[in-house]
Amino acid sequence: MNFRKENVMQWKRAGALCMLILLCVLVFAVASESKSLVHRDVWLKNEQGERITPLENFTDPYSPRKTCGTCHPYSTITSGFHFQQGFDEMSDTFNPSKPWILSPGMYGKW
Amino acid sequence: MSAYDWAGAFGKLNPAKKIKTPACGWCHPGGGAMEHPRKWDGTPDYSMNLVQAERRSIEPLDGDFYSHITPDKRSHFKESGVLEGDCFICHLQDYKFGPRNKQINMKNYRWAATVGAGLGKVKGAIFTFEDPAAKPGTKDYMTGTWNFSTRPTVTYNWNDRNKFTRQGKLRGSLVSKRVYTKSCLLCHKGPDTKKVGWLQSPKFDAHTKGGLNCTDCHNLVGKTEKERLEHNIAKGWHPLGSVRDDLDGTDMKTCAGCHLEGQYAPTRSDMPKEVKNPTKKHEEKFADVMFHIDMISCANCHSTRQPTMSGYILDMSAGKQVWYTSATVEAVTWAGDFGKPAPAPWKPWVTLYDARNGLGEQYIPVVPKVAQWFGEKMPNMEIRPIMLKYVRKAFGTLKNSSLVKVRDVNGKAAKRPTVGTDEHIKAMIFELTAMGFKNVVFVSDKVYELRDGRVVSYEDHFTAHPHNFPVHHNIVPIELEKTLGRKGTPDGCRDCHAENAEFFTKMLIRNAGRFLMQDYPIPREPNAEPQMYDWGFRKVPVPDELATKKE
Repeated sequence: MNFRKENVMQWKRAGALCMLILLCVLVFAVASESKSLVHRDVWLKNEQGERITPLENFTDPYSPRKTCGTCHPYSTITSGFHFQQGFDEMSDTFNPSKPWILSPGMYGKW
Repeated sequence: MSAYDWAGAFGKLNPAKKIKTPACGWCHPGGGAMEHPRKWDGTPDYSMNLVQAERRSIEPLDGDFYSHITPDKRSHFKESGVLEGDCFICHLQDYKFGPRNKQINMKNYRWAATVGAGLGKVKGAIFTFEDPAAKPGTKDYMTGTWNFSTRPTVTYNWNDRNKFTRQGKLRGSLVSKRVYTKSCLLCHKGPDTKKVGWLQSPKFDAHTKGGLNCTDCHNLVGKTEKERLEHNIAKGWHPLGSVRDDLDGTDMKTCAGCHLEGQYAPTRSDMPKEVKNPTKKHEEKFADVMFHIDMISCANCHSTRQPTMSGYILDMSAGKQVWYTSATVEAVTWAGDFGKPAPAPWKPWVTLYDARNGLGEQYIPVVPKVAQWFGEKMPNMEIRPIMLKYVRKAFGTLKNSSLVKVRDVNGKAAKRPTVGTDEHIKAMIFELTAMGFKNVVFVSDKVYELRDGRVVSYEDHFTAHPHNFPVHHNIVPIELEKTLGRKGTPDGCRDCHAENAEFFTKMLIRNAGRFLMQDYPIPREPNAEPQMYDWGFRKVPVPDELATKKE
């Protein structure tokens, strides 16, 4: 009888240990997943690339180029048409038959 | 326009006084020409920004640093700053678009992104309106004071723990990788209500109701992560052909792609798990007439209820932009009227269009812009518009200048100017010629000119033709039972193949001035015509089996 009781206790302990390990794995997975979905906290920067804090440069507007561009390829991102609106293809000789049209976009259109 | 003026000149907003004149910079996310100068050959110079380039520009006649609005007629990028590409317009859910544009109106370009992100308040302005209530066309509309000596300052909301940490870092949790529909609508809502009467609402749009965002169909273009990083957004097809036609359809999701070809795949938990394939339903309802599916675009039968007023007639004959709505042909009183709910949802017009997407010519729903204006005919027969301020001056000298009695969108009787007779056309051409313009013509349903003192006209299908804006959105939820042909053969056929069916007979105004003077508010021939005339039909084709049943 005692031997059987001891066996059951062992199985119960093993089961509890497995559950604990599984729980830890789940918590770790969720935490990792959550971390990868949230942008890190960042310092705002002004046009000169200096930090804006409650003690420094605190009356300056922030610069998206210097702030976001610290980590992200600002020039590549702003090469998109929404930003360029034809500016990147602009030229005085864009349309020889209609010289007042300087680009294929809204900027440089007459 | 130079970059300085393109960013913020002439922008004014005062809804209480019904004033809304957008500056170009309002709907531009920054970067590009808002940030960089050009080289001597007109190509972009990304090595510096406009502040730096302005410092070097010493030529008084350098058009890139000219301004129509500043006291010295020079740009002031040094004081105003530039509009850098503003990531948060798309990647921040609670972006403050109105306050951001107000900074642009004040020529506080450098400060616009800070206010748009809701990070703080700005004290001071480069430009302050003298009278915020002065309307366009009045003497004080754009007058104000310029401040080039005292730099505006920011007071950040450092104590807002939702925005900033204790040390003063911006909370990363504010940044949203996903771009929500409301971000797109910041710029696109106004123009799209004006162009096609569109509203992104679950009541009027099945895809919105299903939980889709704009970016679910308008993805970033590119096969690789690197290409997609260039932030080109997939674009549909447009018959106007005026901006980046080479991008039409690139990586664009289509009706057939998702609903017929199995390309739909949810990318988020809040998207529908699957989408319906209508093939079986179409085959049941349209047995023997399935050729319609090739001839007619999906939107033609499924976008039948445009919810807002939208713009239809644009009468510039008197030197002003006088708009009338698509829903009710009523006079618009200010820019906010285009987005007003229509008294009842209305069906768009229809046109034939080959999108060059492999589907050939199809009937597609559109909302046309019917315009009339004065221009100069060039030697190559193209017509260059005459600036409205000169047309307005010429119109002011007409002895019997024509005002027509119309209704405005508030239901009130109103008078609006127009040019709608040969006598007026002749008088205006004389007046504009005396002002120094050459080969003056009037563009309406045709091109009108003077020959031997008489008004004559000729057809010009490129110039004297409505501009059609396609209806791609506002797919009506199927349960509303407003889809054309929903009853199947034969009753459903009569949605289009009946004597009074709008598909064929919806009237399209040809000559706006004559319509306003002779027929308003009911469009009639010859100043308007059933839209089917453009497709070669003179009467509605009604097959015999449909004609036998009496209505």
